Amino acid sequence: MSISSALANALTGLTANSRMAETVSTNLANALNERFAKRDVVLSSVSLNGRGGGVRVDGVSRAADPAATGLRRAADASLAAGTALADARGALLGAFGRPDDPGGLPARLSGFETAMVAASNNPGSATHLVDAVEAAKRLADTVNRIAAGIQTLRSDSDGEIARQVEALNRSLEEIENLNRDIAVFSLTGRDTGALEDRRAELVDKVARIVPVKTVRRENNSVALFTVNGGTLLNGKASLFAFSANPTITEAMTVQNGALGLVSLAGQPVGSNLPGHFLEGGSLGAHLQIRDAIAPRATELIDGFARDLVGRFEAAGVDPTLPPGAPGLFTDAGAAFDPALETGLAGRLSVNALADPDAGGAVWQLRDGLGAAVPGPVGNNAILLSLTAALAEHAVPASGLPSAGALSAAEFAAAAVSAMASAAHEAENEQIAGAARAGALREAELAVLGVDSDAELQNLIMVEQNYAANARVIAAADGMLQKLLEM
Amino acid sequence: MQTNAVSDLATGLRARRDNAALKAALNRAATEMTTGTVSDAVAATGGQLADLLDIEHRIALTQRFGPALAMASRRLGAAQAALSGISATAGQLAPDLIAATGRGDVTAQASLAALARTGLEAAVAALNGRVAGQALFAGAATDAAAVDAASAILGDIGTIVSAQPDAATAAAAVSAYFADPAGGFQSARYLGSQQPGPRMKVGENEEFPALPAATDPAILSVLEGFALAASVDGGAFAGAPDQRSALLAAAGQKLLGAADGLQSLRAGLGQSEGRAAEIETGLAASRHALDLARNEILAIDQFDAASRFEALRGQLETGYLATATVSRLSLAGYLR
Repeated sequence: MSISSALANALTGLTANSRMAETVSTNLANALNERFAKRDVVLSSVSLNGRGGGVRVDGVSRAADPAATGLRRAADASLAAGTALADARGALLGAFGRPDDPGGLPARLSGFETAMVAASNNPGSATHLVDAVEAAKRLADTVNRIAAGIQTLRSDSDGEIARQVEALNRSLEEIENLNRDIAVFSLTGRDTGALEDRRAELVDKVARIVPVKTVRRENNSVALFTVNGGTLLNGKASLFAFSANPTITEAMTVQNGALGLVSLAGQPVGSNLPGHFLEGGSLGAHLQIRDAIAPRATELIDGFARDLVGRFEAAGVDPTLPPGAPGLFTDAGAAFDPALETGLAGRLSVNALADPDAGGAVWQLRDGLGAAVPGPVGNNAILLSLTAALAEHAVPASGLPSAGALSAAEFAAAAVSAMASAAHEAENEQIAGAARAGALREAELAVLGVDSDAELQNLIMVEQNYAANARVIAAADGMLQKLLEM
Repeated sequence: MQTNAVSDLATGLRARRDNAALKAALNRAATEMTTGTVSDAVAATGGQLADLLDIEHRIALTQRFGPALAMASRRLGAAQAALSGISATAGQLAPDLIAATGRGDVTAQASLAALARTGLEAAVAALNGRVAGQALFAGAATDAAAVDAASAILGDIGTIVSAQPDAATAAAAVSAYFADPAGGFQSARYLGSQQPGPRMKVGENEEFPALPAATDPAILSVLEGFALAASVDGGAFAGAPDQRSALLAAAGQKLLGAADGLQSLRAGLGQSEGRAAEIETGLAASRHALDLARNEILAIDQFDAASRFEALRGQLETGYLATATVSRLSLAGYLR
């Protein structure tokens, strides 16, 4: 009978309204949940043998905008990489010395050079000689510290690579499981919204580590590929391997095999060449830091140390030195050996002959490191020669390719300037990247997020619709009663 | 239904980002306004720090050159005064000696001999002069005296002269005593070092030459002249007045000859003194120029910073007002 159909139809309407109210309440409850995409009830009309059968709730769909989400993920990957690079370059600049840093390389070199000038003009004053030796030791300390700082940065990056590979593996595995669950739920008609939220969160996490391309598969599964075409998850999750090194020294490089590479099924997939599998996210950035950026900084500080050692070892600067003997600055006590240049900065020290704390005497600075006994106290010829050696313009043998002839102070300034302009550029990139990521996130949230006003408007309509359906039930009931009263 | 809906989170995010950016800019402007220098030198120079670092290095060096120049000037002045005193005495004594020996005035000769002795003592005292505890004429041995006591020198001279038969050989022997590096004076009575004294570094490419030591030939000549005449006062050739007269004449000639050498020494010192004055003005000018250059890179016009600060403050306040208004606009507030 039509009246009972009317009843049944109105009942479906009530069910749909309840479902919609439930959805509105879910949306409002999650309005501030950043990982939540708003839900919509999908309704369709029911047709029974060509006659209207009310409304059916097909399911609750989760809002999605693949284009906006994809752009935002790409921006997130760039931002993660940019942040890692900016932090690393900032740390390198801090190690070399920002302009106002009294412990930085230019300040320490300047302090040493001025102490040498003062000692040259007061050769008889033990205080001035001690000052000069102490200033030399402070300079050597700073060079040591910079070298150590660079290796710490590399160790940190290495550890970070291990952590991110671990996180990547775990996320891919969980996404694989979620894919399966979501497929099962969709086939059996259950609500997959919360699972999809969780999966989206995990893909976001992966996207920061390695930039991803998402491909939809059947039954609401996703496959993940890197933008350079590598497979992260295609049915089965890829498993990456990486072995970390707890301590890293200058001698360990990717090229000589002492440092680990990320590998997939035994094949290395990451290297510091552009265009490789894992480039573009924070994992690629840390590989770059460990294998390219930090070693370049090591070259720079080693080149500076080499230049400094060479200035005082050069023939004629200290005529009391036999040929081949170490000068004022030594490689852990020995003369400079070009085969051992890597890591020189970490071993730079002041010649013990002139260091009272190491059994030497400060008068050796004035009278020459090869002198057996102190000479007349007013003789400043060697001091003047040492001071002039610092100021002499020489083309650096290594560390600063394509530089002209530089004095020691100019070399230090050029080194810091190189670090500073790289840091400045990286910072600008990061700021721009953050702005872009922020704007894209806003655009994505505009579509995916919950608008309380819209939800409340929906609720008003649901209320009215519920009242209308209830009215229909009451009317149908009334009609049936009338029928029975006859 | 496709409308340009803006979710709550999106508006919140936008407001937060804008306000955060404005606040950071406001803080930077506040720092710049109060200190007058840029808050971040790296950002201000775009990472090109080489110029700034070079300027700061030169400023530090210039600060060392100032005191060095002052010290060098004092040493030059003192050396100049010492040499001019010696030169004056010698210049007065020489013509008197020649005249007295020429007319055979024995009494005058005796008093001149005594004057020569005091002249030698004064010369030794002047040569042993020190500035700030450092010897002027001792070469590299700035902690030692330059010359032994005048009495010791006169003792040596007396011994030498009394061993000679006549004035001519005596004069030659005394000459050898002073001039020969192994002879008497330079080996025993000169207490300084044969190595030259310190050259003062007063500029990036400026050095003052070392002061002359007491072994400079001009100084040795004048000491020889005084010593020869003083030996007569010490009793040389006691019974031979013509020998004594010959000695005094030789002394007078020696002192006359020494005048030229002393004059060129003093001229050299004078040249250095003039150079010192030039370098001082140069140092002051370069210090000023370096400071200006440094300010050009680092300094901020405080009025400019203040007006920027005001503008940002207004913008931030407007941002806060907008955020507050938008957050109050919610349908929930208007339903019942």
